[in-house]
Amino acid sequence: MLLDVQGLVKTYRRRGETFAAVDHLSFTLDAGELLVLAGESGSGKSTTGRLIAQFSTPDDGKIILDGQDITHVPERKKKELYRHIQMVFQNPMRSFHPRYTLRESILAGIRNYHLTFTEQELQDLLKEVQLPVERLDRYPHEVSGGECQRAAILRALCIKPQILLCDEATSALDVSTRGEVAAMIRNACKRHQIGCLFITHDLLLARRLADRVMVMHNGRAVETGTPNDIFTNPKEAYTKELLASLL
Amino acid sequence: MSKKKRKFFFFLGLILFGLLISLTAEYILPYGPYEQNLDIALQAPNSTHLLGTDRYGRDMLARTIAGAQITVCSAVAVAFIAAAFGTFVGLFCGYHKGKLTTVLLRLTDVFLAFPVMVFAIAVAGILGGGTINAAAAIAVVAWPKYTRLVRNEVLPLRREFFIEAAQMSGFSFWRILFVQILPLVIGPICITAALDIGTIITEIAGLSFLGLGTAPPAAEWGSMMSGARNLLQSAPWTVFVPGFAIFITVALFQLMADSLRDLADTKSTR
Ligand SMILES: Nc1ncnc2c1ncn2[C@@H]1O[C@H](COP(=O)(O)OP(=O)(O)O)[C@@H](O)[C@H]1O
Ligand SMILES: [Mg+2]
Repeated sequence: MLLDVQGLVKTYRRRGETFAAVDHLSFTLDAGELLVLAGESGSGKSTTGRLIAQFSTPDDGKIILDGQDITHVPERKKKELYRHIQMVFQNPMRSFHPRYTLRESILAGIRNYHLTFTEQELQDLLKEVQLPVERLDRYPHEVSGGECQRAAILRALCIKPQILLCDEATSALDVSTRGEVAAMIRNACKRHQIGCLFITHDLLLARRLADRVMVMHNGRAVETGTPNDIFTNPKEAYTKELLASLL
Repeated sequence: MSKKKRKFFFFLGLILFGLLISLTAEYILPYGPYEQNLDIALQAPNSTHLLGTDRYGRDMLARTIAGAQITVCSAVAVAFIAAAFGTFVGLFCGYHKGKLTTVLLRLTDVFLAFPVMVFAIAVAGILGGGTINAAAAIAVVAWPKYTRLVRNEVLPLRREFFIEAAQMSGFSFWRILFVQILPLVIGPICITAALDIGTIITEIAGLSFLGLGTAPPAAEWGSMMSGARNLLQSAPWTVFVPGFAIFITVALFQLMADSLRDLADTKSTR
């Protein structure tokens, strides 16, 4: 078990009332496994991802990575943590600094972590994300959304993380590239034995992609299971409702 | 080169050219700014002294040109120091959440509330007058507006994905500030600083005029005007020449700053 999330709680204040965006959420993720967090907008998927990425701090619960408690990582230790956890964001253009080329941004990460790559390894990674090498010398606004997202995935893979968080990583892409990029993420995670937490509101994508699906609603896990279980034999009323809305 | 670019470099070139003249005036002009000759005191502009002479028979042209050194150089230095310090604090306060930020922001507000002249008079009263003290007093009041400006630019950037991505790429706190954020906010800082120089020139001259800045006999426009106050009617050139120099210089810096802003506008809308 690579990642173990136990009873995670995150509350926010809205109009004077506190409400739990993530409400006693528990799940696990294995190396090489692709877990899809599915659910309607506002169900707490992004909040969960951001808690694991240490972009916000939980009110309760535990996050354990490879046996180590990473629930509250102090600022000066975050760099070490990000060596193991990488993230791909929803908006590919905005996930790259506008004044640096894609290559500069990607190489910065490699340099910051003192990683070494042979030319062959880089070529292999480029081939894996299906990005023409020439695109790397462009600025984020000079490539298509799909190409930019491939570069973002390349940036994450270069760090050789144990966990890849993808928050709606394909939602901003057009329909034709969406499936390709999602499949590419899946293949990369399988090949490098990366545990992938793939957040999406797209149930059809979840079905095609997932090893396991966790359906979220109001910050809680409603139902967890293989895509087959969830989609052909849903147990919970909410899941049935959600699936019915697809038809 | 675009028209706007040409305009900016034209004004910048004029300013640099003027500064160069001022720094080399000693070797070009026949009279030095401190050469006294009471026999020719208070001569109206004529063919040997193009802008006349002051009460000690010093050549007004030489003194006015030399005056640019102190005024312009200290104004540029003050603007640079205030902008650099204010930017540093603004970057920090925009990105870091914590007690230190709260304290720094309070401090910024306090300094922002000081009227520059009142503060400079207080500084002169306690530490004495002089060019350095006057410049320091102006700098102390000038930096907070950069902090405000920079912080407001940084706050929305903090939530950008590319900043979070930079964290995940192993950038340290300070490198995110200086490598990732600073390049995105440097434009408005430069424009504000350029606009600031004109204001600072009038403040430096104003303090010298009040006797709180550069003291005579140093050639400085404010103190030259102040020293010639009672000659306004009998020898008006002794007041008008340095006054005009201030006016021209401030106007040049404003024009340069405006053209810089135009340049930045075209860039951001492109
Ligand atoms: N920083 C925040 N402050 C206040 N409320 C928030 C914040 N972030 C998320 N929320 C709220 O938490 C709930 C879950 O949001 P989110 O995790 O983004 O959902 P999802 O990604 O599933 O669409 C939403 O109701 C949202 O409005
Ligand atoms: Mg979301």
